[in-house]
Amino acid sequence: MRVYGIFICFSPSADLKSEGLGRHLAEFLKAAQEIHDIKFCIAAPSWLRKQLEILFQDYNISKESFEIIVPKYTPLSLKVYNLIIAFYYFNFASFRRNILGAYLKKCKKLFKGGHGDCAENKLRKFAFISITLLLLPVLIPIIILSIILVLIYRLFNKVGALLCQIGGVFCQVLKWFQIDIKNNVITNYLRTREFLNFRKPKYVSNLMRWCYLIIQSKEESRMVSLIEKNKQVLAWYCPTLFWPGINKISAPKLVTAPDVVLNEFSIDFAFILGDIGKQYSNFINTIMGNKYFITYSQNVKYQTLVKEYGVDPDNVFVIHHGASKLNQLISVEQDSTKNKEVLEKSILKQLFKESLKQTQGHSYAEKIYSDSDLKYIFYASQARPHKNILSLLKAYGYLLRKMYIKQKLILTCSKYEIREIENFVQAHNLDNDVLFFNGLTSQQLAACFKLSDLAVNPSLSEGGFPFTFTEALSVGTPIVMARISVTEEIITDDKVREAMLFDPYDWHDMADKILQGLNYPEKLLELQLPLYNKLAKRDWRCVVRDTVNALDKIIEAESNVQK
Amino acid sequence: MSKNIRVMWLLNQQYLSISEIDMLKSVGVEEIYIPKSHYCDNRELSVVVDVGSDYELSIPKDEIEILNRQNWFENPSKDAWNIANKYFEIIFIGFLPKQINSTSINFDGQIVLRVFGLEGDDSYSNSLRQILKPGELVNLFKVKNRLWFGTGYKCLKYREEDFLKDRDCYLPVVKSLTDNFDSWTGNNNKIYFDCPRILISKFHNHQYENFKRDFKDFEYTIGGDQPIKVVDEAVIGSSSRDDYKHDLRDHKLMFYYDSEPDIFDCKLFEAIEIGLPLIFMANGVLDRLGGRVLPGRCKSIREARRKIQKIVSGDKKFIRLIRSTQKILLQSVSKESSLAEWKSSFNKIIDKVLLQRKVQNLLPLEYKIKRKKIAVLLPIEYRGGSLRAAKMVAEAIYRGSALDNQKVEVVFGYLKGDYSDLDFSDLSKQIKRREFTWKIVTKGIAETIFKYKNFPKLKTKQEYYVPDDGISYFSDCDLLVIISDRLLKPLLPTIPYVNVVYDYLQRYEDFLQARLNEIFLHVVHNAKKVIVTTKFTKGDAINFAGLSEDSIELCPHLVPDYTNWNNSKTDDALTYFIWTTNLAPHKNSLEALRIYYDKLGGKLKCITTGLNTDRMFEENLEHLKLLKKIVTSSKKLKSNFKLLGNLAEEGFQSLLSNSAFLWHSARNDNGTYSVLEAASYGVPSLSAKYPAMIEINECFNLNMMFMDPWDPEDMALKLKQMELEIDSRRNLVPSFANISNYRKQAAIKYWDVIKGCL
Repeated sequence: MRVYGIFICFSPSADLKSEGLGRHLAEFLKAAQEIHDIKFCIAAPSWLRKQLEILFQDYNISKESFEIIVPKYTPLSLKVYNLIIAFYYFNFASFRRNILGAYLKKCKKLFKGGHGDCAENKLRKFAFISITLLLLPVLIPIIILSIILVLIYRLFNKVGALLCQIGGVFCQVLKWFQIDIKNNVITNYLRTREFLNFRKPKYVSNLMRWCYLIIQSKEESRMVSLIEKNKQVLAWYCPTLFWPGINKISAPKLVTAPDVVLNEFSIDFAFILGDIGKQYSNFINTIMGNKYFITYSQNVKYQTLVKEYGVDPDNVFVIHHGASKLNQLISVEQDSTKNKEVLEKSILKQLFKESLKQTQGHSYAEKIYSDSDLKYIFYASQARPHKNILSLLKAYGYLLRKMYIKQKLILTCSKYEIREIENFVQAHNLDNDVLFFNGLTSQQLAACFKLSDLAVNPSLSEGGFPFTFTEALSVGTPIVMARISVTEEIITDDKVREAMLFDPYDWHDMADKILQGLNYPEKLLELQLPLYNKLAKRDWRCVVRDTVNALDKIIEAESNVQK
Repeated sequence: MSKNIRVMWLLNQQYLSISEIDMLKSVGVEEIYIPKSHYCDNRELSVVVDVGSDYELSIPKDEIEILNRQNWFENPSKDAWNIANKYFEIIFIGFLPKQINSTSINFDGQIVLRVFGLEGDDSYSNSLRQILKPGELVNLFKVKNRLWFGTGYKCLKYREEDFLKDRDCYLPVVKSLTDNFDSWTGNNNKIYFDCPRILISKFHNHQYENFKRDFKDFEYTIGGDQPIKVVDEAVIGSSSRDDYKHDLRDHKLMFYYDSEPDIFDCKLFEAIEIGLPLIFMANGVLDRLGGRVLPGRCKSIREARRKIQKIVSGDKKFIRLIRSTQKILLQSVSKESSLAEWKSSFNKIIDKVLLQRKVQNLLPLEYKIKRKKIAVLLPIEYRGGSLRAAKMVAEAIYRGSALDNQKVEVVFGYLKGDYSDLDFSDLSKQIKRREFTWKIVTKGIAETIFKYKNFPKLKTKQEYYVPDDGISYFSDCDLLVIISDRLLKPLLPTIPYVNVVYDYLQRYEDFLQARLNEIFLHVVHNAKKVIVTTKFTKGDAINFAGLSEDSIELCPHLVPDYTNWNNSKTDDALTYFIWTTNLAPHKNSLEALRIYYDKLGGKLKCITTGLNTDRMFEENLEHLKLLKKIVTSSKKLKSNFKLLGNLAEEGFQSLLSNSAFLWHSARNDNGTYSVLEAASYGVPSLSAKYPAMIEINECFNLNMMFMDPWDPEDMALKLKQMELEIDSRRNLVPSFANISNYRKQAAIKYWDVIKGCL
């Protein structure tokens, strides 16, 4: 039996089930366990041991089918880091309000005679006071320590802000005196400001990120030393570019390069993410430190790896995604009930009601829409700059106000992640017609696709052919999509292209195609089904087989080089 | 080598050419092209012309001739670059800004930036930021995978940033042996000190002064090319190659300061080869090349003086010792010692050439030819003439590309504002519209963008603008064409851009803040090209904006298609003339009108149109109050003067086609299309005489009558003359049947300029 390795290094806070890459890994492993002439060995950091077990359970993956290489102990540095993070995210206001508030309320109730002065009440009072007194020796140091920590934390912030201000004033003074401010003074000042920015709302501060990357790097080294001892693994596979630890493995290795949107949409990402520092260097180092790659499309192979990074095209294997089908999540078995359609409809309605609960920034959506048969256009995507949500909103606004379509627009991204999205919705008074169902489960997602009139995907760039195509078609919903390299790579029929692809940079074109799709959904579906049926045949076992073939090729190529 | 690899060696250093070409041949390159035109700046003076090498090239003669006609050190033609890309896969260039920029834009193969060290502590990474404009720097960063930092000395990479250090390709300097070996005579009892460019280079000037101070009581000769003559008998200046060799053979010794830790002069090795005794200072590059143990090495000037004294006084034993030991230095630059390094470094380049060949064969067609996208941006919420001009530029580019069978996508970007669909109804449907706002990019964000683009640090201290289209900041476009230079901040240099500048009115009228003017000038300096539409503006672009001539393109005035315009006669035809104007000061024009009616008995009415002109006497501006005063002072003027304000296109056309003539009294602007519109109806024009209007008149043979806008008397007289000669003037107006051909040629010209920037 040939043994191959999978190198993973998710962060400690990652929830594998909710991460796209985690789900991808699960599907891959699930398919891999069904192929009996090969075996996979998974190398992971110590903190992922538990997460992997949960993932295996959730996806019905047999633990015995895989060998797992994990460093024995969780590093002390990570424990300290976790403590800091826990403290960082600790909500003092909520603690004060909920725990202390509940305690004081209880005291008030007991001693203000809420329960009368019976023997039972006396006993209660006695027990309450005794427990409070007993806990005091423990509670007092905790409270004092907490206060000290809070003070340090606030002081740290204040000092940081003060340093920034001093730095700013200093630079200003130098400017007034027309002194040539050396570059390093400016950068240090900026660095100080960035470094001490503990109150960044969405992202852990740079300092914490930097700490984590050090821990990650150390853990990767521990993993690599275990990997190097394991001689039975013929080659290693890494499903992303963000884990440069793979570079240190001496056996042949194959790395997946999903996409390089950070480079393609650098301005957008710089505005939204700011400088993600070493994380980006990791990404580049992984490309530069490896020879063999997998991409999900010819486009990423040629445009990114070959043209941008000078990778040999013979060393890049294009392995398309397996079809992502959602129908099995919502379809009712034929023999389970006589009235299949009614039951299916009721399940879908229930799932949609649950989805409505997830609506962001629209407190009454659940109440007013749960019983109505809403008609809507659906776009399942995260909020990322290249997802082109603003153009979709423009097109939708036009269709609603100028073409009088009745459908709402439902998005699965967060309303608040990109400020421009929230601003646009508010400025154009679309709050009631654009709903944000953030954090849907797979089943809810399937229901939303099924109930929508039309799915849309206006993304400007994707690493592979978007999953949304098979997801929508699997539940019988037609879809219109952006005309980008990865869609044209798969959709080659001119008729189908003409019917469903639009220029993502031209919202008028997008609106036209959406309108056409809404007016003639059956026609669109009819055109799309042959392609769907073809793509649906490609399951995850095909992906595993292709990956194993690629691994075998690199093993052969490397052994030839050594000879 | 699997297939013949041709190399272009585009350096201009005579001493290097022989040895480098020899080395290239030794590593397997059989065909090498050397430029035939000279380049001289204050650093590069040596010249090489070797037509003989062309005979070894297996490419057609006519194409070699095209290559030979180019100045490869600046901007060779597009055709020449096409030939270069067709036959050559590796190019060697020097550290010359124009050459670097032109090569990085045009050459598709491997680029070897050949460097031999800089004077002082400066690094090439920093120097590149100084000699290249931000956009040019980005062009270089974009070819980083094909760029090689071809260091002549191993140590050079250590002071560089990663983007050059990582691309280091050490190709050691080699000195080829000549037939002068050991031909020293030493008959002239003087020191030979090589110190070129004394009055140009600070570095050499300093050495010259030091040498004179340190060795004033010795007899010496100072050699080296001197573009500016030095008044000093000891400085012999430029000499022929034979004279130079003779000098080396004839002098008693050579002194060398060896003050630079990383670089040395190749001529030094020529002297050693000849056998001229060398006295040099310690702690320089010669120490690393084996000079630490040599008897000619001196730790102090005192020691140097003592050793020189010994040689000058004829200490044969000492001279023999120096001459016999110093040959060790030649070993370090000998072909034998460097060949292995050359082979190993050059193989790295060849590997990339072979990979590139493979990619070319494997690359699917859709990735080879990408449809280009050009955005024409109107940076301010302009309307009227500017909006129309911007739309015409977009149309011209689109049409020009179609005529060239290279259909490109053209996007029209306009600033978010009060525009309606009607404003763009005349824009072709193929040209897509995109609304945008200007977004400020702070220094920190700019650095992050550069990081994500994999570019080295920008090291900027300023803020930039990016056009925010709500999609991807126009990053899907290959080129931005910005109508005017009116940007309040420089554009982030991630996408190249062209400015279309119609005039530099601020040079003649005092209306622009100095700070804004400075910003606007910076904007055009970072543009890839600046398009102007009159020779007059071109002159201003050079002499006011400080642009180099080769960065300016003179393109024709773009004109609308007049052929379908409405032309129906009304009852009041020919009873009035039309004055297209605005609310700017018009004291002279009103004064002229007053004279025309009061003194000259003018009979034609004056109908005024233009933005807000109907409110000319309502506005509370000082200069308008004055106009009101002039008009009310004359009854005749008051009764003949009519204000219509801004008219819709059709109303204006009807009014214009029935007028006796058009009066254009503005001055110093970019000219007006109204005279062309008038001519299309056979209506003559009377225009103020200023350069832009003279050019329009010449270009379209309009036979306009001109008047002096500074002299109301002359203006009035010309108005009267137009009234009297109305029929003959109408006969002089040319036919516009050929306007479509003019528009076609204009579109081709615009496309040519844009194509050159893609």
